[in-house]
Amino acid sequence: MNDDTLLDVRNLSINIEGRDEVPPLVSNVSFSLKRGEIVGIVGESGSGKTLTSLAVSRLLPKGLTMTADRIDFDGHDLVNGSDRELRTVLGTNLAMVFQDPMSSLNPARKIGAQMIETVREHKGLSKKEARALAIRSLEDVHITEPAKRLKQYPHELSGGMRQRTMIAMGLMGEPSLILADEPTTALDVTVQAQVMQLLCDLNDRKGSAVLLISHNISLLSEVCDRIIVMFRGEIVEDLTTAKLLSGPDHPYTQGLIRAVPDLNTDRTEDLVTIEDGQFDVEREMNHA
Amino acid sequence: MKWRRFLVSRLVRLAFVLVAITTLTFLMMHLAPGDPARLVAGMDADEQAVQVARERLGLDQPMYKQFLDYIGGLFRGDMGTSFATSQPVTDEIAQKIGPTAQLAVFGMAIILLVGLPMGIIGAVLTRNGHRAFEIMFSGSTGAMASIPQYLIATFLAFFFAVTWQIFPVAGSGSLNAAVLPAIAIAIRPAASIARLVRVRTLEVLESPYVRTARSKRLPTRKLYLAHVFPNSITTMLAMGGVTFASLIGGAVIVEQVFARLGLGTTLVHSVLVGDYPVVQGIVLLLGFSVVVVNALVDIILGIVDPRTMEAGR
Amino acid sequence: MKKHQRQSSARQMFKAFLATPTGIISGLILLGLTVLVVMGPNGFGDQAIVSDMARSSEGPSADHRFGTDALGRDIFTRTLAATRLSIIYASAAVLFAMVVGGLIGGLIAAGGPRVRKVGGTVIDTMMGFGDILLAVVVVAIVGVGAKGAVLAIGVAFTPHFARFTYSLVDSVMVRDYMSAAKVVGVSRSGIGTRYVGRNVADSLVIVTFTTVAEGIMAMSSLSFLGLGIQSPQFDWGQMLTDGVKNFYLNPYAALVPAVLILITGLAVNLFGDAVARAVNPVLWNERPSLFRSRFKRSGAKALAMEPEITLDPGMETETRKGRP
Repeated sequence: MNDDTLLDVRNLSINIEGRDEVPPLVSNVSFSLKRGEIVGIVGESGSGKTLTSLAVSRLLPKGLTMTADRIDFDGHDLVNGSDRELRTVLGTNLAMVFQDPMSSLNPARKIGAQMIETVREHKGLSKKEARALAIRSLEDVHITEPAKRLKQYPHELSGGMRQRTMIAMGLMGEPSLILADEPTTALDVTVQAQVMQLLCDLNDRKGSAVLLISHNISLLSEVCDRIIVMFRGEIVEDLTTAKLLSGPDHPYTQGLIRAVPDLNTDRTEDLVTIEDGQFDVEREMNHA
Repeated sequence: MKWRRFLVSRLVRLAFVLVAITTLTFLMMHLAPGDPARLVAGMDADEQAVQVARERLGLDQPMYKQFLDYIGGLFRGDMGTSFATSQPVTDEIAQKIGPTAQLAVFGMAIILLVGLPMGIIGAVLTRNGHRAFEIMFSGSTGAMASIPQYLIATFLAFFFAVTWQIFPVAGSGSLNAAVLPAIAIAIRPAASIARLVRVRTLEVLESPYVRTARSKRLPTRKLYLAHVFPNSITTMLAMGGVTFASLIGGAVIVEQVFARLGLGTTLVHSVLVGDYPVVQGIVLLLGFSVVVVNALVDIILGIVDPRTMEAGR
Repeated sequence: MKKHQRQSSARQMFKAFLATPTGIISGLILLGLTVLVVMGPNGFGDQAIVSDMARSSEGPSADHRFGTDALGRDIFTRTLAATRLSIIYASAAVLFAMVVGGLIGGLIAAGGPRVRKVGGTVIDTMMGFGDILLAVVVVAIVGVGAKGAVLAIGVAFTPHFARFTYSLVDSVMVRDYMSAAKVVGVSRSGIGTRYVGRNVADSLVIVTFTTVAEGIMAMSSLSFLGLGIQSPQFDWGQMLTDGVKNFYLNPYAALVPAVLILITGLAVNLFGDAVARAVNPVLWNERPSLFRSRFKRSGAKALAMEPEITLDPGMETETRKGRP
């Protein structure tokens, strides 16, 4: 591992607690991320991409356990480190953007209060400093009248604005990694483009790496340097976007690309589907 | 101005409901069987005495005139005169309101101090996987929430007053005498609140916005204080109106068990002897307090959680 | 064909019902209560009704298991004898509430936006008063006694049924198959009877049944206040009041009817749960437990799921995790 590596995950597995007879939800996943890189994880529902991101951020829900040889984030050991040691690192260096901006902000608290609490806690900023930072942060994500927004409640903002607020909230701690899980799924197509553009801009300007999780392979291919394809809890391919576009090796990835309809798709025929059992991933897994 | 619209709509509704209650209590006396004048004059009074009583009560007037008089009287603080004691109804109520108000306040305190924390603690322990606790919690609160208050009162009286003799079994004089009745009326609403708060808090704990808050790595104390509790408390507030009504209804019954001379016992007694002005007065007072408390809860909810303001049905 | 399906599943439903111990136990208790109702107050001989002042308010003894009341009547026998009136009056009140409340709720649901708004406010306000206060007001108007008490509890429960029916109709109306029925051209009345009526009636029957338990408690509350059934008729509530008056002498005079009220309420509720589980095939494989934790299952499941994907609906998390 060289100095450029920001996040390094080795052999991450996730299991349902106390249910050893069930195959793991995520098994032996390994990947790494360089500083400033934009990497996408693509996969279907249940492919384990969200769980992987939750494990990396140590936010796995109760009832699930993870094991890993190593998860190294910016020099910190996320497998063996205690919550106490990692609090500040995970609270500031890692920014999370979740899928549903409607419900990811606390409906009963003003935007301002929610934005400043992280830096107040971890960086010891005064209320005034934190508010000034929040306003700058909102400007960074192109939100108009930022001072006014701080006094508003989430339900007074539109979906796109809320998602940008979420991003602004993450930016407050000057993160080296933004972990965005389906950040645009719940938004309109035009707003989707704005949010994606914003993430790329921030990556350019601030140098934050972005780990982007999505089921939308064409969306990822437009912004990512590299794409990791997950299927049934395993990584089937980890390839550059150029390679993806020129023709991936793995049949599953090929299937994924074929399944995306475009303007030339024949409307009289059924869309391409990926049949269950078409790939032998599961069989391999059961042997292991 | 959003605020003003909200307030105005609530106040209009409040006024509407108050008028409806007043009309209903007025009609109550006229719908009831029997002749109030005869009741006042006495069962074996002659026709002339009954006629005199009728005129004195204003019952010979046309209905609309009586209604206007009734409303006018209410504005002057005059609720009529008790048939049984010939005292003004307002005096009757003033004498009896103490023990009932005491019960309501004590009951509310118990609900707040026991029901709410139990619900929150219940949620946290459930989430941390204390299965045995969860079963115990659901079972005991479920049972408590479904036992009628007079039964609870009876059992409490049996154990604490008769068997162990810790508290007096009856009376409305001392604070001590208020303990058992207050517990008796509070147990059921407190159990329902604890159940509701637990479920709601569990939902909150699993909600996306608490996950966001967790991702900020705030200390546990701050996580709960800032992100979890406010939502649990909103749940409890939303139950405030129903809870208050259940306290009032409970007071009517529980006062009977513990022989407390409050509005409840007076109401029941007045119904039994047909003392309609007192029944009217007490129903009006209790009805008004329930409705006003409901409106207050709505407004407070609007302040605490601005979303409810916009949702307003 | 539809009929055939229903019949074949009736046996399955019965099996599902028998598979739950609470269903059997509560069913047996209800059977016993039915026998008591049929026997009625006169089925127990003199002990329940004839007073014996020489043995007033005695504690438990060999010939009176739980002692006697103030007039020297055997507490246990008298409590059993009171079953008929306690249950029959409560059922009458609940039926009244179901019919009147169901009609009102249905009319409000069928009405225009203004009707719905005003109707909703009226129902909410009535419910805000609490059952007891409403019932006392009705008794004040109608007069003390069995008839007044039945009507009072009926009226007090009416807004609950109105609200229930109203929201039930609402939830049925927005389901997809309703839109489908409209598109296909089923007439308004056809939709009303065939689709809404059937769905609402099923739920209403089960709710009515379990509400009888609350009806018994409410009726005995009124009797307890002296506003319900009057002597020489007697029910559990009335016995309870008398018992409380002589608490020091023989507490069982109050405790025995109280316990019977509780047992009845519990049995009705458990039976209702068991029936609800039996008619709903989705619940057949669930662990039949009173205190089932819904949270744990749904919590872990919801979080293990990811956003819907459009590539292939046939491939879901279940195929991977489940596979028995």
